[in-house]
Amino acid sequence: MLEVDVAVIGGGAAGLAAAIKAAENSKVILLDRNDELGGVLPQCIHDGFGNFIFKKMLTGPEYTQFFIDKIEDLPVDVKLETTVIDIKKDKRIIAISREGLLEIQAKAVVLAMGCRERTRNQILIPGYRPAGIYTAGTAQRLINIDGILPGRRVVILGSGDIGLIMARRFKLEGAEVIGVYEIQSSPNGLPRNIVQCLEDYNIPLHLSHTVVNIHGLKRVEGVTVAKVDGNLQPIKGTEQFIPCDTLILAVGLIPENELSKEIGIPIDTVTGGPFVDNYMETMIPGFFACGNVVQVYDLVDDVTLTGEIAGRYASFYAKGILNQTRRIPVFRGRGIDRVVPQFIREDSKDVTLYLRVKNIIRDAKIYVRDPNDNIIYETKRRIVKPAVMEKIRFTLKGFYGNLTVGVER
Amino acid sequence: MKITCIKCPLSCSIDIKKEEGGLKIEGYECEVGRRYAIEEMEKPMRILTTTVAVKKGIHPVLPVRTEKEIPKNLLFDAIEILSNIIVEAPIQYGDIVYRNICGTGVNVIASRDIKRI
Ligand SMILES: Cc1cc2nc3c(=O)[nH]c(=O)nc-3n(C[C@H](O)[C@H](O)[C@H](O)COP(=O)(O)OP(=O)(O)OC[C@H]3O[C@@H](n4cnc5c(N)ncnc54)[C@H](O)[C@@H]3O)c2cc1C
Ligand code: SF4
Repeated sequence: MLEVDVAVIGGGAAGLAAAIKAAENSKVILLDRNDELGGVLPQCIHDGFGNFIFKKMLTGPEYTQFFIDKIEDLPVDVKLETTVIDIKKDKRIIAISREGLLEIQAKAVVLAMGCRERTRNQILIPGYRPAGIYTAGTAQRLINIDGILPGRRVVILGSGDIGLIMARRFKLEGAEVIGVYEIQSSPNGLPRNIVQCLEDYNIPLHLSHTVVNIHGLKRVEGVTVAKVDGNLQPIKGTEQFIPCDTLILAVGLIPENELSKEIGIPIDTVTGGPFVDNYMETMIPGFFACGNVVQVYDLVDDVTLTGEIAGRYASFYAKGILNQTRRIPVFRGRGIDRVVPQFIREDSKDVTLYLRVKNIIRDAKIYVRDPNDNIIYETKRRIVKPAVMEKIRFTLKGFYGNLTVGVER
Repeated sequence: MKITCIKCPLSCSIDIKKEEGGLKIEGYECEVGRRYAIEEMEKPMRILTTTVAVKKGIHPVLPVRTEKEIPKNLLFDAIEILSNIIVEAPIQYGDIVYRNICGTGVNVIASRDIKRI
């Protein structure tokens, strides 16, 4: 059995940052089931990464390369093609690798498994199961890593950034992109991607539309789309058949927490990831989590930052120098859909919270209140939108008790 | 023409027209947006990212990018050129894959290392 201070599960942006940080003062192992490091980044070949950390717009592979070069210079034990299948509460890790079963005893564990894509089963489109239906991430991998174009006439369901990016990608590779269909009445992706991925290439975006049926026995031959009403229900009589050979599902991401659940780590049903404090420690001591396994972050820069925090404190925990203090809960107040971290350590000073609002608000005020309704921090935004994650930072001056975050005009 | 400003989350919808005596611009809320609208009308620029074929590499394709932005109307010409390029591994991050694409003076570079098999 291998013995280490810190075991990091997953070698994407989050796990890489955690392993690099933890290696500053402890013995680290990094496990990933892929055959190379970087998680989803090597397949995200578009530019748009690292604006905050590197102050320039890098492509996904470029962003990863920096961390891969860094980790190769460190004594981190990187094990690829190694899938973790079980983690015990005492931090014994069981993985399958090419060499067979691997057992590792760690003192602290960092969970960095990222997220997976929602599939057709989770959104319930009727019809047969012909070939030609891909999640956006799978299609992205086929085109950008394996060099395979999986279709010629493409319909995209979902206007999140991944759907938009893939619309452009198919177009550049010579496929016909018939349109992007979005069930909501406003697009999910960044305006930058609406402009540079759709408008630049004359790809139509159909809001308040969804796919109601998939046709074809062996291969997709077309889809039926329909307009939806205010309750997102298809409106009878608006159905339209669209011939295509490929349907791309870009319908959302879910944190990958099968392992976390088996360990018994409490999961926040709102984010789909473990409850964490501002040291990225979960509710079970010595288990840390970072990146998209905690919640789906907008920006990789923030994923990297959470990884560094998790890595640092995991190594402190492993060395026995992490103070166990009380945690103050952070509640979702008015207008707030989610907040991460959900707890703050009482001995913290500078605190960063990530939040999503429920509605679009112009000239918004985001505030943090103590239990007596005193405002301890306040900041203004010209606009806040559900599609854009907000980040606030403030300093704790003493003990407050529970905190509540809210937003108003 | 209508332009959605992408420079901040406000996403102002800007109307820009050529008129006698100059440009008529409406709907922007700051100078950054005004300048963006003019640039988008006169000479929109974009980064191009795509892949090129690789021989003897651990992957069959290499992600590449234009080092800087190139004029938007050259994107498809550039793609056409790059779809005919084949490079041979090993490749190093930053290697120049194609010089002076479409006469823009901008090089196309490798986004990552690709080891040779
Ligand atoms: C298409 C797309 C476009 C994006 N565009 C942008 C953008 O323009 N700008 C930006 O800032 N961000 C963007 N992002 C977001 C950014 O890429 C992610 O937030 C970030 O890369 C997530 O990193 P991660 O480490 O949390 O997860 P991942 O990259 O998913 O890494 C998780 C890793 O864990 C491994 N793993 C999982 N389970 C196990 C197990 N049981 N055993 C072993 N290994 C396991 C996986 O193999 C994977 O390598 C985009 C994301 C996507 C998908
Ligand atoms: S015009 Fe100014 S305020 Fe409006 S979106 Fe552009 S940058 Fe933002």
